[in-house]
Amino acid sequence: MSWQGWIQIGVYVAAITALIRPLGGYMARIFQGRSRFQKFLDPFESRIYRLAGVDPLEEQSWVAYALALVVFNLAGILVLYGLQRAQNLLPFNPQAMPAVAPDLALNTAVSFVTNTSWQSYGGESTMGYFVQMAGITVQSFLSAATGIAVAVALIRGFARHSAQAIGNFWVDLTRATLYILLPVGILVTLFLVWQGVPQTLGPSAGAATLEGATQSIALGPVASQETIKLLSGDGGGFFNANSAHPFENPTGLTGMIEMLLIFLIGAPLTNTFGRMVGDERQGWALYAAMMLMFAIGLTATYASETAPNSALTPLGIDQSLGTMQAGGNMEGKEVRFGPAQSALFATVTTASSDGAVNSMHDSFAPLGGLVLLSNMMLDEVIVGGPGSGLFGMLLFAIVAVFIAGLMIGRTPEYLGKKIEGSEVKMTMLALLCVPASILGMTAVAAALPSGLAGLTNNGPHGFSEMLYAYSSGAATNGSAFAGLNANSLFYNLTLAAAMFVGRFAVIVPVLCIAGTLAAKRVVPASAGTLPTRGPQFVGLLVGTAVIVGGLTFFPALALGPIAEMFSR
Amino acid sequence: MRIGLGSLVGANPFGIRSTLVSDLVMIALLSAATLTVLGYIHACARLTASEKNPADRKP
Repeated sequence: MSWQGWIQIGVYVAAITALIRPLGGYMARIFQGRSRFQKFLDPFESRIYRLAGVDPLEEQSWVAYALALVVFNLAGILVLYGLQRAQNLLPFNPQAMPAVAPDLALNTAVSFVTNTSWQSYGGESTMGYFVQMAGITVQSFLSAATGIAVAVALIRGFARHSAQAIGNFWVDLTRATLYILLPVGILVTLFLVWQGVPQTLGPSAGAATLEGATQSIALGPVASQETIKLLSGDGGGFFNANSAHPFENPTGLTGMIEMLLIFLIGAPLTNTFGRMVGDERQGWALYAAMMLMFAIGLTATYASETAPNSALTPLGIDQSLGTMQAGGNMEGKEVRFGPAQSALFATVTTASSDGAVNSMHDSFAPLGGLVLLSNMMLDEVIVGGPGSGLFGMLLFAIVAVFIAGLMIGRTPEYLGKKIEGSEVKMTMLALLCVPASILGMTAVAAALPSGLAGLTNNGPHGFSEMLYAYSSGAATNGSAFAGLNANSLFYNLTLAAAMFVGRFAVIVPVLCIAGTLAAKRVVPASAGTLPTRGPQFVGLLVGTAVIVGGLTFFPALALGPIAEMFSR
Repeated sequence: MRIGLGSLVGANPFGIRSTLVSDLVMIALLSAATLTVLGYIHACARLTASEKNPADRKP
């Protein structure tokens, strides 16, 4: 590890922490309808509602909210599927890409609508510009807005009392897109273009190589997709190499900005939560729990990736840190970024639900791979995706106060709301669907020839590749371990199922909890109320998340990265 | 385009060859998933409705 690496990490954490209050406050004002910017764009927003036939003042019960969300998302899957299948007929396809195969099109449509962005394809060799812009980029915006809407609905569940409604899905979706995602998206796209990211509808450039051959250099509307790829928690790259490609991530500065974008909504939403429930310290407690887990994972990954590769040590290869080399495990890493930024990027991208990569996770040492897997298996609550991280962490908060209530023999409360049978059942339903999907589908893949056919490694590492794929899918992360040939009928359909379960089987119970909490009265705090904004609660919350995650996944991790670590 | 549902288990007993049929199979899968989610919403609503605490009901 180097001091330069630690400075880079310190600057990143300081920058994201400094943005918590301003952005959290801004988002709270947006969803409470009190922002000045909102008043400026109000005529435009009102026109959208008129065109869509939506009454913005009409609020919805949780069932109506969930139905609107599901119908909207499923329509998005159908549209994206149709665009891919008709790609050869669509404009802006200068490379004449053929229609995408049905199973791959379904996988990709589910992937981007569920905010996962798992890609069983190489972007530059499969998707034309129209599908990239009107299909994938649009769904990146809308899936992020959907996640934010669900988080805001849950916050309203805590903030309201004796209410039957949790907001209006169409209003929340519109405001998240119009006032949060689009302004940041436009600004950062211009910044990326300035830094050298292409933004063109022209065809690939041709270049003559020294050997006399002609090389095709893929171009396209990269900058506009790159921004929302990171901001939305989607992570699907325009190019197959994702953020390791110099056209997606041309400089060290863009690398830092891209990592900031990944946390830019998820982290400040904790502050939005605190403000909307009337106590900012509640939000800081959630952020502290997230950052504690993030710091532990990052330190382990950074230490692991700066240690020499044990397979190269017997060959006498110099892997030490020096003025001419970064040292450590450089396999699968872009030399411009080295192990420090790669470890930071990998931890950020798996702690969030983004899934963009600037190095190949398959080449990480077993301990590094273990951390990345664990980040996703914790249901992406370490900041997580826009909205999904916050509501995931609030699910663990409900479990934590429930366990604390059991220990002291008192009905659990959180933010003045009694946590009773239906909330705990819904919480467990949401928390157990993801592990059931990951472990069940990994077991099926490990048992069937179609699953084993996709492996390029045997033994524990091969098992890790399968486990990582389903963890990435069900946790709606989308990053790939690489080394797994996932573009087969088996993986396209089973991963689509994992992504579907990981998104909707969690969102529906979360909205249900929002509905039941909103209907409750507020119980005044008393001497027996568990404080939920101090270090004691942060510790309880982290312990709950780690123990629930650890106990659920430890046997599978023991068969994969842990077995590999001890076999080296 | 050859899509064999049987290849899910390592064989190809159905051997569906038509692109249109492949699209219909994918849309049928999506429809089944949609119905499952709608049923899931219904089940969650029934569960919470049956467990509503009388103390929390509005007077």
